[in-house]
Amino acid sequence: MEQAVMSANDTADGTFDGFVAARGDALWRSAWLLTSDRQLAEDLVQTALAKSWRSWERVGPEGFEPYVRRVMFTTYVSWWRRKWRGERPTEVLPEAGVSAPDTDTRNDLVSALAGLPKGQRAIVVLRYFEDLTEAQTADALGISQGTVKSQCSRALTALRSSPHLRREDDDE
Amino acid sequence: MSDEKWLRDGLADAVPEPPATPDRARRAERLARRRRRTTAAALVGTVGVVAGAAVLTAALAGGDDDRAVDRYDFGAPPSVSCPPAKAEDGVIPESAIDSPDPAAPDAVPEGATAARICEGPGAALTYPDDLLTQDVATLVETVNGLARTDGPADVCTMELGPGFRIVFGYDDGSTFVVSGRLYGCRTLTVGSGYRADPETAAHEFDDLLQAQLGDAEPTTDTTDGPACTTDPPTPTTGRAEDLAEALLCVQDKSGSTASLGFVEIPDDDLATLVADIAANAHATAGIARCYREEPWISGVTTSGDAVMITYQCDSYVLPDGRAWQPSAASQAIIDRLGARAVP
Repeated sequence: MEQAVMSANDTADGTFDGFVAARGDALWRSAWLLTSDRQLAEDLVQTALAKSWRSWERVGPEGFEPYVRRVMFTTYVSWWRRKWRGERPTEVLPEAGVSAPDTDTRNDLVSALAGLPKGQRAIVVLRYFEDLTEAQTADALGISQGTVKSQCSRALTALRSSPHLRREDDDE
Repeated sequence: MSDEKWLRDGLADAVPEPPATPDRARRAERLARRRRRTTAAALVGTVGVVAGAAVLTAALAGGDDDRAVDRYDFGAPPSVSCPPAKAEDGVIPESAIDSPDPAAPDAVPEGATAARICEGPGAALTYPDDLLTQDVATLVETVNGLARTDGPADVCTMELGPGFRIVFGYDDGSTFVVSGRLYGCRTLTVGSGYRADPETAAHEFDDLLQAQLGDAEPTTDTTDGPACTTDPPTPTTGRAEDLAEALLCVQDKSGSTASLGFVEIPDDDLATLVADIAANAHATAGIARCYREEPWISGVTTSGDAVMITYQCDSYVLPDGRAWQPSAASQAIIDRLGARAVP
């Protein structure tokens, strides 16, 4: 799993371009877990980067990834609060074949994750994919640590009982 | 295997390889520049504005010479002008064109080649003055796809918000007007009848106009920084979640302009406030408004749209009418910065 925190050197040349080159894929992976869709994930990353681009100079390389992550996750929450049509204009058409279903039977965990409320889903991704602490997760989402803890517990309970999942060790 | 380890392993295994996007940074940068130019979002979600609200001023205030549409050759779109609308105490009164016309068709006629959104019955609101000339048929299809209703219900919420009119233009010079109310019973008058969900029509217009304007690279950076103004603050139209920079403004009890004070909200603090807003702001059926001696927030979004968040009676009110009660952490920021901003 990729480290969620980067150093200034990771941006290669200390530029916005360097940051995106170094960390763009990591952002995309989290975005994919939030959206379960390759193109929506790219849209979410692009939107977060576009929103954050203007703040590059002020925030600086050291603090930019947490900044972008916060923008991305709050954008995710607001996207799903608004009506999302999935037909937003994009500059470049997706590559052939990338629109194939992402949540197939090979990974029922993703299907179960998609069944969570968006807030719980965001917490699960931050806590268990990005490996953030409860405090860091609370900071990223602008909620209290207590909320992180309670929502995370509910998410785990929901995942355990999801019809999409049957853990191997359930039978043990 | 513990739940947490199982989940960590499962998530790590589940994620596919990202697509190759070597130009991601360039595309994000272009999108950022585009967003700053495309301030047509002024009309989105502007509900819950009460009577007496001043005219909202969209950041897209360029004159005719600046209209993005003028930089294109669309083959002389038809002339489409807004119906007369004169605000009285900040409210646009209804007129005959806002009611069903039994002699008109019950749907927008096909073949429109241009459309313009204009002020409608309700709280006065300045809409983008760009003429929509791309994908007008999509807008027609969207409006005609809205569910037919019998008209306003007997009982509706009593808040007043903005209305809008969309004028469709045809190559023969004719026009067709639909009239929506983003408040109360939320009806859309289309020809001889009513449709539900006027927000969808307004959102669709906005999306299409943004797409149209988005085809143009910005020629200049027209974004102004945030500014604190005196009471009453000017209502604004940006989304609070998109705030890029902001000031905390205060005014002492004398109420004079000389007593105005402000302090720039640091990035970290702003991020906390924005995240709190994203997580906790909620829609309301209406906002009780009363002036309080509380700090307010004035900022601009990444798109260059202004955002004013003022305290009204018992909560902060966002430009789109949602209410926000700051979390303890956010309130601490407001208190700390407010103390520094005292004039």
